[in-house]
Amino acid sequence: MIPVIVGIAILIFSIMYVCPGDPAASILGAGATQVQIEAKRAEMGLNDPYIVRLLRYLKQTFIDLDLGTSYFYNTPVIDGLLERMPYTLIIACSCMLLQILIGTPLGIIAATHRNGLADRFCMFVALLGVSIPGFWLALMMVVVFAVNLGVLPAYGIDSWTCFIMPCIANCFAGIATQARQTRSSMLEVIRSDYVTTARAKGLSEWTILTRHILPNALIPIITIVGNGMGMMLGGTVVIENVFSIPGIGSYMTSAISSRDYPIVMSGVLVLGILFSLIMLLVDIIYAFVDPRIKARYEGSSKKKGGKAHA
Amino acid sequence: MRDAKPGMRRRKEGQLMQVLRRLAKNKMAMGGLIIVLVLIVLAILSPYIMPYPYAQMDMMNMYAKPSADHWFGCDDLGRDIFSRLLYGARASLSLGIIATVFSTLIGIVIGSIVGYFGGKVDNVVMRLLDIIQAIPGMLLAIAIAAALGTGFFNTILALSIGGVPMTVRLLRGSIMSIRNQEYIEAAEKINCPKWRTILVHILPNSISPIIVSFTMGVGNTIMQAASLSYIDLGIQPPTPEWGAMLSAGKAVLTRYPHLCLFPGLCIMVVVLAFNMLGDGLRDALDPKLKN
Repeated sequence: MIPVIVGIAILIFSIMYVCPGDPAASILGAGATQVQIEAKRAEMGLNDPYIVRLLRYLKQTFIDLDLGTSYFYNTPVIDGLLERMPYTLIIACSCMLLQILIGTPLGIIAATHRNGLADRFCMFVALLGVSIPGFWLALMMVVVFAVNLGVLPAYGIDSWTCFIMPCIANCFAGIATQARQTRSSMLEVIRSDYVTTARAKGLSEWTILTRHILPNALIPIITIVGNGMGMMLGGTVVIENVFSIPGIGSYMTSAISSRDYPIVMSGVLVLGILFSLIMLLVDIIYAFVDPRIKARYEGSSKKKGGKAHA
Repeated sequence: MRDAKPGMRRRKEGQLMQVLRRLAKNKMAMGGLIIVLVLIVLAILSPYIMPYPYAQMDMMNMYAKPSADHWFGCDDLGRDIFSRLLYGARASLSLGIIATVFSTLIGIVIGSIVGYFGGKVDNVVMRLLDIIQAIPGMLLAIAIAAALGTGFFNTILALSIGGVPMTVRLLRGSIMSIRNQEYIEAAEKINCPKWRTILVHILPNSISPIIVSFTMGVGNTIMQAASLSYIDLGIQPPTPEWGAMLSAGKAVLTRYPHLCLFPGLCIMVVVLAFNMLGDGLRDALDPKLKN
């Protein structure tokens, strides 16, 4: 886990390293002379070799918890990120909840009514869902619900109603992916022998579904929830921009236009770390839910396991 | 893959025809395929069939609503949106296709090496790819696009790197499942060179998940490209790219929503078509999954 986080930091540093443009010149602005820029470069240690700068960056990031200073606002980036983190988390987490609460039942309905009307309908909605760009859906929702009907606020964070549209726009794709995955993993289980046995015993369809099908079908679905969280975090960056929500995403997008690289890179770093923590949590839940993996951990902990997506 | 085909043709043709026949029966997939082909043809022919030049400004028709003259209306400079969409299909489609081809090719090379040799190489490469995959695709694209700057080739690079780990994983898994079969062992025993074993014996038998993920990947990449242009990275206005048109239209969204409506619809239709085709291909390549 820790190697992955350090790896993310190294990757981001390397991307920043190859990035054209001189940070010293960006900080000093257009009026700076060559001498001033050189002095600033020396002060910032920009003339040191790659490996020295990398080690310094890693020390700063993980030991001093210092993500650098914004070129534009001249404030520590980490303060800005922490201040904006709650909004991004609210959106991402409520999207994840919606994805689980709506997507899973849709998939279950589709699988139990396979090839029926309900299945066709659910799968068409799901196919539409993975094909609509979230930010465009957001724009169109603004036009319909905020401008034409006037029932929801178009932007801001004044009340909880402001979060309705961003969450729906952002999680539509997640719901769709969840429904598709639930359906296919249900279908795999639904025709296994033990389900036939359960049916032959005369159990009610409900008992078969809740006691025999779901526990087996839900295991692969957990991974999708984790991956979906990554999609949500990426999506919020653009969605926050549409609704002017002061989260990490709009912090990053406004930094992109002012070429404020420390903010962009630290934003990616923080969201990347967040995502890998979530994936770790998913792996743990996975091991907890699936007795086979749990047994393997308890038996021989030699094999580095738990990687769901092999 | 292309190198592999001639050697495989005699034995493979039957299977290929079977797959194509199953695909042809699937109405959704055929619909998707037709939409994709029509759009590609329209994009290629766009300079000749556009009703107006895509950059022609017309101050009389600023923000014109859709009408018989201007099917999808006009934008803030009175440029015909329909023409711009037609011409913009070139940028959007080529971005999506080239970036996905690029990432799939890299993925195939790495994936077949990793899957075939396994062991230490596998361990090191997979840990490195874990790191790339630990960053959500969209965020990685933003980071790379922000660092490299805007423009066609930088955008392709930004869009393609995030897709590599998934291709590698898919191919590696698929290769590992056939790695120990007798025909691979036979090829090794008759001293078939390693590259030939991989190209002729392993890849054709493990490529099918990649074909599906490629098709879906194109749609996904087009969507990501549009998102990038929307937040001022990627392709920039005045180039008529669908995402860039959305980005230009958002300022007047509340008064003139048709500036944003049509480019978004275009993105949706294309992505939908690629997804439909991908779904159909998956069912056709692996009929077991469907039933």
